[in-house]
Amino acid sequence: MSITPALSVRDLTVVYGDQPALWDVDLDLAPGTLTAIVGPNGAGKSTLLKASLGLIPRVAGTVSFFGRPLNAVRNEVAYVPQRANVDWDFPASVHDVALMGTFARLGWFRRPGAAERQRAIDALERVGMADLARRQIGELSGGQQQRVFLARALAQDAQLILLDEPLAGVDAPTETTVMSVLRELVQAGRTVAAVHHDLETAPEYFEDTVLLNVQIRNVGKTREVLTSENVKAAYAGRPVSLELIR
Amino acid sequence: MNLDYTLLSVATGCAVLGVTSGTLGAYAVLRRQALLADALSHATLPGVVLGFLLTGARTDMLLWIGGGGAALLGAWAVRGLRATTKWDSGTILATVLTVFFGIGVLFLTIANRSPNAAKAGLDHLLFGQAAGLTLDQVGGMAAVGILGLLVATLFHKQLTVLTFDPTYAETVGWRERTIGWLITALLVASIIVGLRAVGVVLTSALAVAPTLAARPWVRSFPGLLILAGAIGGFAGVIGAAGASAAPGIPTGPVVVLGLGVVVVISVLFGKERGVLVRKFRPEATP
Repeated sequence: MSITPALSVRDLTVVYGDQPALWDVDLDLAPGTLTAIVGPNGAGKSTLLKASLGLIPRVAGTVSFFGRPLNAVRNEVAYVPQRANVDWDFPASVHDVALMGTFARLGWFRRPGAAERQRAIDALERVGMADLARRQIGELSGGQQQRVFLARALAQDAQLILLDEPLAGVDAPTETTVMSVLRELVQAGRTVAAVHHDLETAPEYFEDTVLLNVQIRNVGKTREVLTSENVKAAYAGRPVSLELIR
Repeated sequence: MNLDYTLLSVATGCAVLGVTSGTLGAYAVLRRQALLADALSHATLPGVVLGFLLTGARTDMLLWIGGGGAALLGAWAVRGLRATTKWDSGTILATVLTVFFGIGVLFLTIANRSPNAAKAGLDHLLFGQAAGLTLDQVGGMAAVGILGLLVATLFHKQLTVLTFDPTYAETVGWRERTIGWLITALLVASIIVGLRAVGVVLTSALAVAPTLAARPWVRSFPGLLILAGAIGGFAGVIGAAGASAAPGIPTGPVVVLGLGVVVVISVLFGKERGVLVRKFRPEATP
């Protein structure tokens, strides 16, 4: 009897124009694991997360979360996008953004109350941003912005957390904080997967790794996956063109 | 003191439309869709005039249904072009604006030949004429405005998240396809409320300018919505007073000029991001 994966991707194919961004990807994330998604630029790492979450159309493939379709378990799946995607000029405080994480469980019409406000503050405390709760989001550094996004995901209290390059361009204290929060989540039985760009730190930070270049190249324990042989093959191999596969 | 009944109803009407447009327009402005407001307000013209041509008499209900329908058609055209062409957003909006407005002017020319055109006030469609507002019409404007504000309050969470971070809204299950249309519908409501008083050409200023004026003073989204509404309402009253002080001057331009002054003051002196404040206060180091 096998355990139901937190995320299960089958035969996933995504195409941009006439270039495949992902080709026939199969992937299972076991519950309680901390996984890095690694690969060269244009390998489809972000695309894998976005297509799994239905943010971009898939040509083929099925995705299930905890054995169910996304719509049935949306509250249990949190997504931390790349920072650049939002309007940092928006009039909101750090606390306002963290509070948005609680909206998913409130449904369509309930308003956030004292319990939700407290959850947002707790989440900010975990990422070391409680002192800046009242600050405008436009006045934050890159690392602080990343931590606010992570706090929003924590406030959602989801079972599966998917992060797109959470350590890209952040300061050292933020990197330490983000990784310790992710480890805490996994110790508490949550499942975490993050797109990661740094091959050097991957073995230290992530127990498991998915090596991706349009297709899945290797999956397993980070040290076994990120051998120089595997990495060379994955990074040298140009994204497979549609004609070749046909 | 004997308050003029006409001036009272005109001022009330302009205040109502200022509050409505100022608040509901904020979503579009913060989503960087201010030009959409302009395109959609111009797009109302063919609908309004067509309503007149079909029935021969222009009632407010017809003005709103025709104008609102045409504006939604315009919004649908914008979305269609966005999905099917590779045109940039400016090109798409310019295309929709000019095509709809062109058709509207054509209809207007035909309609003006009909004998009761002047009586129906068709010539005031472009720049607005608040002086003729009756209490009934003000009541209608208030009804549309209150309905729009109620809907915005009800969906405040969704509108906030979609405006700030559409990707996150999507992962929560609040689709751009549905909530985006809700924002467009609220924008259209804010536009049609202003049609009679401010006119097709300038009504979008009431949806856009109050947000620009309010932004440098606020630190929260609800704060922005409330202040934008207040500034819009204030500008509406100024416009009504100005237009009644000098009969013959259309209300629209007076309202827009009043708003322009407030925007300039805010941009210069605004507490949060004012030009002068930024110049003389060292940047906060995070």
